Amino acid sequence: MLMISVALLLGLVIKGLSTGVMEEKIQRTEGIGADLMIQPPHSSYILGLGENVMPDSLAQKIAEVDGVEAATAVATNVSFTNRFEALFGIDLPSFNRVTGGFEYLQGGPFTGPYTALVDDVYVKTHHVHLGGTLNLLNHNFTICGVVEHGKGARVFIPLKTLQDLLAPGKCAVIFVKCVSPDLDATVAQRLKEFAGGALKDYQITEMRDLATLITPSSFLGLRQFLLVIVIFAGVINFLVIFLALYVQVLGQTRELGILRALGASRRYLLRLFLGEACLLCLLGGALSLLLYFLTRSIILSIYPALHFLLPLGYVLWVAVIALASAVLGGAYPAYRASSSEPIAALTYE
Amino acid sequence: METDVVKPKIETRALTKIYEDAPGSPPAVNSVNLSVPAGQFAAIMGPSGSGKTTLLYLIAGLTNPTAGEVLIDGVSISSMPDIARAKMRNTRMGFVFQRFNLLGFLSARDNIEVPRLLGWKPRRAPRSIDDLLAAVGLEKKRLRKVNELSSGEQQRVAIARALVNDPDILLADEPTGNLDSRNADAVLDLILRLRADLGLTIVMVTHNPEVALRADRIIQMRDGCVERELKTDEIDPSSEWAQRLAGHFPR
Repeated sequence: MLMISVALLLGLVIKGLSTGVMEEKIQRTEGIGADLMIQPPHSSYILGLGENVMPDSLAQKIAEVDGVEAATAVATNVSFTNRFEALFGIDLPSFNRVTGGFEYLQGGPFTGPYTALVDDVYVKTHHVHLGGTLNLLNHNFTICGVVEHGKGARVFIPLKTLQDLLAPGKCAVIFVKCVSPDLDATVAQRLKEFAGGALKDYQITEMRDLATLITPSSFLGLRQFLLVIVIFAGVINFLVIFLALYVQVLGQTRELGILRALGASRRYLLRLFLGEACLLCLLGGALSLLLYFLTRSIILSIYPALHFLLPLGYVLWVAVIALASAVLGGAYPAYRASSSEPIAALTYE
Repeated sequence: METDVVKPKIETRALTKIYEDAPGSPPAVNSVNLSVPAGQFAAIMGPSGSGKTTLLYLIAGLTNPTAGEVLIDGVSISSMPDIARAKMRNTRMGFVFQRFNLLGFLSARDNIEVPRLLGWKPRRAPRSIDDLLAAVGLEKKRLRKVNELSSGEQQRVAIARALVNDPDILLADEPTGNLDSRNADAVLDLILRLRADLGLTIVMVTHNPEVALRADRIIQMRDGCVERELKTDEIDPSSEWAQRLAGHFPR
């Protein structure tokens, strides 16, 4: 049962973690407060994974389009210095106009080119503090403010600084705030036609659609990886149940003969063993859920910034796979048990 | 004038069994015709390898005959599907084995209950297990694991188990074979008392002439065939035949 639960646990943890992280990404991106997001063609919806190839001057021109209240260019980078972390280079005045501004928990806005804002989660997970130093892109930044989390990234530095370090004058995404959220689609259409169709190949995403766009397929191969994990769990489940029941049938030849002599039909023994296979699987599944919550608690105590989310549909899907592999794994031992000859069994020593 | 015809409870017609895993060997049971009326106690005797146990297993429907058939109350069980035979074994037959064949990890009470858990509805309102335990004198040891009981007590549990679904047929394969003489007598007394109480038809394989002589009838087998049939009330226990019987089939 433990083997079954461990195999299933693997699938549950990976799915829970990947969905949780994606969900949290969506919430953080939505939390920016923009209505539209403009990216170069074929960019990832996961912010930070896009390249800084758009001219930031576009933001100023977009801000003048009818129906647009504000637009801000953001350069992005993924920092691997300590942990995987998206870094935003922002132009604070325009970023504030689009997002409504940061809520400062400590300190205040940038005080120089090599100053940084971090959110409260970053402070907690990286054990940094106001006035401390952050090493980003091989440069030291002084933490000038701690802000409430939920504005896209956990670390923000001035746009110009990040551009100078990576791609001068370029950005990866432009966030747009519309005069009215009802105008999203209209404004998106206007932007497509803007400047003689200069943006027609760009990705213009309505933020309200983001949840449906950030899926496992946003990460190359994640869906396939999860599928392989589930198949792997199914195969282990099959083998564990097959071997456990087969050994049991071989070891209980005499008992099976006794049951046959007392009036157990072949169908009864078949049901008995298939039932045991399913029960093993259900108990293993229940245990795997308990272990999942335990594992989640342990991981979150070590990495509080991670998020877990286990969709019910996935749990049901795993349950179906597990149950199917249990029935398949139990089928041959059950057949062996049901076709045991009582006489041979009763004379078995 | 009407004549009363006593229908046989158990009947075998040209019953033959050849084991497939022993090709070329003689039949274990060879064209046996047998008729046991309701309420009779028939003892099957014979030397080892004479086909007694195979005959009993054939009557119980635990194995298929190579030829011929077994009829219970005039209905052939040999052509029945497995499920119908299993139901018949559970609801109409009780089986007692020489080696008890109890489930060692269960208590005496649980062992007795096992036939009730195999999915069949009893023919009559079942007798309580505690009553059965009392009938076999084990009410005080009902929660003991059967492995902790003496062999005589284990056989009494096996008898109670055989009777739990109120069968009308009791098949016993050397039920006293593994018991000392005191326990053997006690078990036999018990079987005979229950037979009188429940109106059982009994077919019992035994090597013990003393046991056989307490039956209504002795069926003597040799090489898979019925060699001789005798009514015990016609036998003088001190006769030369009975003495020879005792010497011929030593326990």
